Amino acid sequence: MSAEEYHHLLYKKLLEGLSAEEERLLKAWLKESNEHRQTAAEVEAIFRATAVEPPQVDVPTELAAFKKRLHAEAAPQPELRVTHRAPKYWMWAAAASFLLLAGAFFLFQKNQQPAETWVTISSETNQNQLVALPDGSKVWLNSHSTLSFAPSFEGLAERKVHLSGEAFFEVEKDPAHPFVVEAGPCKVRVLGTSFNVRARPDEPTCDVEVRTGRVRVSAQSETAELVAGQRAVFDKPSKKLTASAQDIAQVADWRSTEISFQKIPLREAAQRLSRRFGQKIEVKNPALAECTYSGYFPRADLNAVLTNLQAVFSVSVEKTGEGYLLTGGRCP
Amino acid sequence: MEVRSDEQLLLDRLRQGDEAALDQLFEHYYRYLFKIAYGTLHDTDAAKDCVQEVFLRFWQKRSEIEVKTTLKGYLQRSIVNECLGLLRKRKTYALPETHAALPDPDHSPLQQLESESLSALVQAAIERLPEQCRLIFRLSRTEEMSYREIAEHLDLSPKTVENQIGKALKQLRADLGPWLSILLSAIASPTFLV
Repeated sequence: MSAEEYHHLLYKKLLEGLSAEEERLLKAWLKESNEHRQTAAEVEAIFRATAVEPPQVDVPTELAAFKKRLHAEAAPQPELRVTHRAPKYWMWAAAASFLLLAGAFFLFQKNQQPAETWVTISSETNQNQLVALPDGSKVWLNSHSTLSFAPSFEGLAERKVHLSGEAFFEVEKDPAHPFVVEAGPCKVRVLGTSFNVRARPDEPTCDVEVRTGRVRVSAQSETAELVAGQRAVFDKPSKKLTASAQDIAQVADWRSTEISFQKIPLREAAQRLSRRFGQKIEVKNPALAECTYSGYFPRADLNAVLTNLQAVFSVSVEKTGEGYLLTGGRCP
Repeated sequence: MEVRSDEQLLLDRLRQGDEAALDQLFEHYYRYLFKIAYGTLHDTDAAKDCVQEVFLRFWQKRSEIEVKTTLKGYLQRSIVNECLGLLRKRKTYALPETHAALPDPDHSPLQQLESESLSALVQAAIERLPEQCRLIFRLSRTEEMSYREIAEHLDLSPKTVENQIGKALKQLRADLGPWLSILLSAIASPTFLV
C-alpha cells in the first residue's frame, strides 16, 4: 500500500471505522515506525481541524424568507406595465414621419425608462452590499455607494446602470445587449465580463479595473479598450484618460474579508493598505520602508494591521488628516 | 390496498400543491441540506441560496418529481448539483486563486495564533487543493454522504474518491506542516497516540 493509501485508511478509521482486515493492516503499519505514528497523529489533527461546523441557522426565519421568495416569484410585476406605457407613446409618435421619427427616437432612448421607476440601492459607510440585477448580473457595492437601474431590461437595447461610488460587476454574457455603467463622467461598456469601477463624486478620478473579459471605458471624448489585468484612470480636472496594468488578484480585493502580505517591502504593504481602506498610510523612514513584511489577517481590519505593524517594526503610528503616518521603527 | 409510508404521503400532498407539506419538507430537511451546502462552499450566504433553490425547484417541479430511492437521497443529489452549478458558474468568472500567505512561523506575532486564524489557515490550505480533490474532500467532510454517494454525484469510481482523499490529506499535511503541532495539542482524546 502506498503512503496515500495509508493516509486514506487513517481517515476512514476516523470517519466511519475499518473492517477487521483493514484494522490489522493499519495496526501493523503503525507498529513499524515512529514516523508512521507521527503521520497518524497529524492526519487526526487535520481531520479534527477540517470538521464542518455550519453556523447556527434559525429554520423558522429561513422558512419565512423562503416563502417570501416563493410568492414573489409567482406574483406578476405591475411596474413593468407602467414603464412600457411611456415608450409605446413615443413609438406611435415616431411612426408619423421620418423627421419626427428621428427626433422622437432620440426622446424614445432618453425616456425609455422614466427615472422614477428605477430601482436605487445604496450601501452605508463600512458596508458592502451585493445586488442582483434583472439579467442575473451581480454587483458588489463598496461602502457608501449607490446603484440605480431599471426593474427590467426587457425590450431595452442596452442594459444600463448608474453608479455613484465604487462597485465590482460580474456581468452576464449577452452580446446582443451591451451592459453600460454610467458613473459620473465615466462610462463603461461591456458584453459579459467582470470589472471594478470606482467613481466617487468627492474624488478627482474615476478608476476602472478589469478582472476578466474586455471593457470599453469612455470619459468625455477619450476612450480606452481594456482587457483583463488592465486599468484606466480618468482625471477629472485635466480630463485625461490613462491606461495601465493592474494585478488581477488585487482587482476589487475590498470584497474579500481577508488580507495577506507575503514577504513584501513595507512601502508596498502601506500602498496596498491605502488603496484597500481609502486612507493614506505613509512610512516616514525610507530605510524602514524597505523592510520585509509578512502577515495574514483572516478579517481585514485596518486597526489590527496597524497594531501588528507597530509590534513587528516598533514604529509609532500617528493619525493624520488623511490617514496614518508611521515614524521611527526598525526592521525586525 | 397499498399502505403509503409517511414519506409517500408527504410526496402525495406536495404533488397536490399542499403548501403546508412544503413547509414540513423545509423544516425537516433544511439543516441537513445547509450542512452539505456549507461544507461544500464554505460560504453561508451562498449555502443558504443553494438550499433555497433546491426547495424552490422542488416545488416548481412538484408534479413531475420522481423519487427513485429515498426523499433524502433525492434531496442530497439536488443540493450537491446546486452547489456544483454555483462552483461552475464562479469558475466562469475566473475567480483569482486565493493565494493566502501562511504567516512565517518565525516572524509571526503570537496574536496571530488565535484559533480563529488557525481555522482560516486550514480553510486556505483546503483552497489550495486541486479542484476535484478539494471538492471530494469537502463533500466527504460533511459526514453526510458515503464514498459511493460522492462517486455517484461526481460520476467517478469509489476508488477514485478514496485516492483523492488520500491525496488531499497528504497535501494538507505538507501545507500545514509547522502548524500541525498546535492543531495536535488541541485534541483532547486522540485516537492515534504517538
